[in-house]
Amino acid sequence: MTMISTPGKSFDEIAQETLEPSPFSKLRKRIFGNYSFLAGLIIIMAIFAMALLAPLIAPHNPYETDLASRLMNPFWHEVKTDEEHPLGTDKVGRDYLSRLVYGAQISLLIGFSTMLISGTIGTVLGVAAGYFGGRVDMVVNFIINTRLAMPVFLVAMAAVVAFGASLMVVILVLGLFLWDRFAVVMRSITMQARDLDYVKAARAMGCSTPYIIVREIFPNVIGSLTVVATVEMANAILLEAALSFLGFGVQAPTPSWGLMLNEAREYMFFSPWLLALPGACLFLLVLAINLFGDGLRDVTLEKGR
Amino acid sequence: MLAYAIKRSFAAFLILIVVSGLTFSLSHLSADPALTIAGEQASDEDIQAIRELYGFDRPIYIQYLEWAGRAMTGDFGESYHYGERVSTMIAGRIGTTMSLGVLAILFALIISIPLGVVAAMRPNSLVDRFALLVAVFGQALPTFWFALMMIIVLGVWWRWLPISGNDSWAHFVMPTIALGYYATPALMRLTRAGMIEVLGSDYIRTARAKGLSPTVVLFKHALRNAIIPVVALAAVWFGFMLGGSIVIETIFNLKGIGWLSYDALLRSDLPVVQAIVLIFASLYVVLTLAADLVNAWLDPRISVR
Amino acid sequence: MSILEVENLTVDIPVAAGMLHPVRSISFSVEKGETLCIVGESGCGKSLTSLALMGLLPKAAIRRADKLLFRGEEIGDLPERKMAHLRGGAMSMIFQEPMTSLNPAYTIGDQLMEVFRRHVTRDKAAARDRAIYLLEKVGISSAASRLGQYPHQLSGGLRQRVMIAMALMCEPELIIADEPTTALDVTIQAQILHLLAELQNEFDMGLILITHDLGVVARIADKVQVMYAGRTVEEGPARAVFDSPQHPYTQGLLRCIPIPGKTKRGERLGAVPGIVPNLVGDLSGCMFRNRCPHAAPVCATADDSLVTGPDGHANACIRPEPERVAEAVA
Repeated sequence: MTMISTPGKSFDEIAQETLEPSPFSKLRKRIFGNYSFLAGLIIIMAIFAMALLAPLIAPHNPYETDLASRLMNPFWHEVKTDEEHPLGTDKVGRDYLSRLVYGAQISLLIGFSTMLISGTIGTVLGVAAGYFGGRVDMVVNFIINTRLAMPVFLVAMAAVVAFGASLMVVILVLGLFLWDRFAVVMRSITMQARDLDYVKAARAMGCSTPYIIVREIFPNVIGSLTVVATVEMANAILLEAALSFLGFGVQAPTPSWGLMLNEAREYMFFSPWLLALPGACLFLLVLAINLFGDGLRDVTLEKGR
Repeated sequence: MLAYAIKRSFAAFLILIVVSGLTFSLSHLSADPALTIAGEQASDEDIQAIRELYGFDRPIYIQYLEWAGRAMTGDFGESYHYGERVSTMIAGRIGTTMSLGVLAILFALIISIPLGVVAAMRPNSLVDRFALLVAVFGQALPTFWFALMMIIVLGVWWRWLPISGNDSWAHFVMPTIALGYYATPALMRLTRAGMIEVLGSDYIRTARAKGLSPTVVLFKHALRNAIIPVVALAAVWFGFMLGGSIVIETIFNLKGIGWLSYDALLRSDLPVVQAIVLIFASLYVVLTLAADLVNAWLDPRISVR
Repeated sequence: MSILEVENLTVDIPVAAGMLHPVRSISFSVEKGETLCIVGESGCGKSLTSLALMGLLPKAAIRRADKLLFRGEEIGDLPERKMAHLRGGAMSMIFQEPMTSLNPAYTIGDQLMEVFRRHVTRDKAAARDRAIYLLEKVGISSAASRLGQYPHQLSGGLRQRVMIAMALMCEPELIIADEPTTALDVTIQAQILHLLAELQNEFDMGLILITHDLGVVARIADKVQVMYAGRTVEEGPARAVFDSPQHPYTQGLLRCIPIPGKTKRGERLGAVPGIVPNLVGDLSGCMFRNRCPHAAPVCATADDSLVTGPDGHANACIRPEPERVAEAVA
């Protein structure tokens, strides 16, 4: 399900792989010009604006049911459409467009919050391991390996069962699981930064460890941190959708795209658009984040990290 | 080499203990197993009796040690819900999951290797661009949504393939594609990068200088060297696919252990969940260990580190 | 009849900055049993020349030649399929990097027999016999048991011997050796060169030896061709070139090597100062002028074609020695 790091490779290799532009980056530039980064950014901004301005954009209340107009068809159908509901309604008559618009809130909220939690955990572990090395590194390595050995999806489902399904629990569970790549990358980059001459000089001058980490190391890792953040954000959004789709995530009647897919499943024969639309939204958002992240990778690398 | 193997095996064993310990505690937090076993109509006395019978009243670490001790002999206890032996339940279903995993990884290789090779032979050609599109879009496509869309198009509209169950080979077609396509971008990128590197190598120049036909140069001399890391990565992806099998098996009602874990979580059937987590984690650990040891064997410098 | 006759061979490579001209109108020929040494520093176009002869240039490179005769037949316009039949068969090549020129995935036996079975006969036993015979010829002991070994089990010197054996598998009439000893230890270098010269004698092949090592040239060359920046600056019989180098570049090169009996102990060796010019775009005049101690304004524009003397000794200097002397006197 999720693309976690690859066993059989050293952490340094994984880190390098995450940060290096893909072999396709040049080609991508040819096809999309330098616009892939821009295109990603624009789509993200658009979805972000949609989420922020949802109350203004959405024609209806996403929670308002209307059993009289259930399963209205979207505008491209010939029968049973309603101008009130351009994208139709779901099984209890809620306006689908409004639910899709509000769904952006959930996905982005999950993406950002998870990224913040996992980013914090991973960065602390990774920087500590990279900066102090030795025993600390050994312990952190063990923690990372243990985390990698856990089947994320299964354990996340179990955790949701244990603590009850809610938005908060999903965010916490994903945040506590998706820090591995942060840790691996931060560890490797901190190690490189630690050996830079001016960092050595700062140590020789007797600067305090927190000062060195914040002032000398951090500026070096921030670019890579952002790149990993985009990868994990996309990852978290996909995982939440999958969890909610199986009923182990956000609970009804919250308009989560994954949950909407779950609810639409039984109507796949007669109203396939109920399935097509939320999935397409997910796809678009994740695609945009990936394009943005790839572009960012090129920029970070050009600056020489 | 031997010392290295022992050290790594010990670490792997330690990881399994931590992972299973965490899962054990987590699942015992989730629900009172006595309640699950007794059912909803049970009286307080009944529940208390069950608690004592199963030993749920004892401290959790004792329960864990007891479970772990038996697990090492392959005894995972009885399912709370079905009353069957967990080992029997898993043994009857693991074949389906393994077949799905193998089929999916073969599918991924069959798509990604030729595409990667042709892309590498003609960088920037149409095929290369197509490969890029597959990679960029493939990574953003949510697996479960892709599966649902396939069901709608191939199963419902065109009626080419059965959409649920595991009675015949045809039932495996869509799950294989849904699970396999997700690995194609990574495998294809590696094939392409490997091929480009190998094609530029000195021994390929030698092969051409020997007047060998382009076919022999490509298939005998280049592909074999480029493919080794791809196969290694594929082995690792096989591990990920087992995790992804939860969603796919649930969607297609394919009764392997992925489906079993979903079913068990719905019923709070803890022994089953714990056993499957341990199996997935062990598979990951074993694959990683094997990959590491093979690497160490190929490159004696690794074990010295 | 020469085995190989090349007239005005040119290689152009389009690059971002324009057209790169790494090899410009060079001509030479090799007879049966003759050794031609092509000498020059890195980047002078000598390796590209060898790849151009073999038809192994990178795809982007454009090759042109007025004449490219192999055994009297034009091979410049030969389709790739026919060219492939010559390569490894009648003409073969030895590369600079023995460590990476063998495929790590196959045994040396496989790689030796492969070329024989491609060009001579599919017969496996015959290929095996030939491989063993040649491995012994190149001085590898217990040849039969070596066939099953992988390249990584052999040292650099051994691998280069295997490469030489591989080049000889199909009794080629011409061998092109591109710096075959550069990557090896000094002691091994001498052995390998000795071996090459010996085998060339024995099998009566034409040998083109590409090198930057004038010591090597002095020992085994019949003819010498000195290249600088894609042009031939001096060529002729080895003796003549060594005894009376005409071009300032050759003179500079020769000052860089100690000659037993001539160079006095403790005397400083020479060096050719400066760097090789950029070969992108339109080029004119003598390319060595910015490093040449005798350069004059005329060197920037005049024609730098070879002028052949009576003994077949040719040089491309625009202001050859007699002129310089005359000027100095005046």
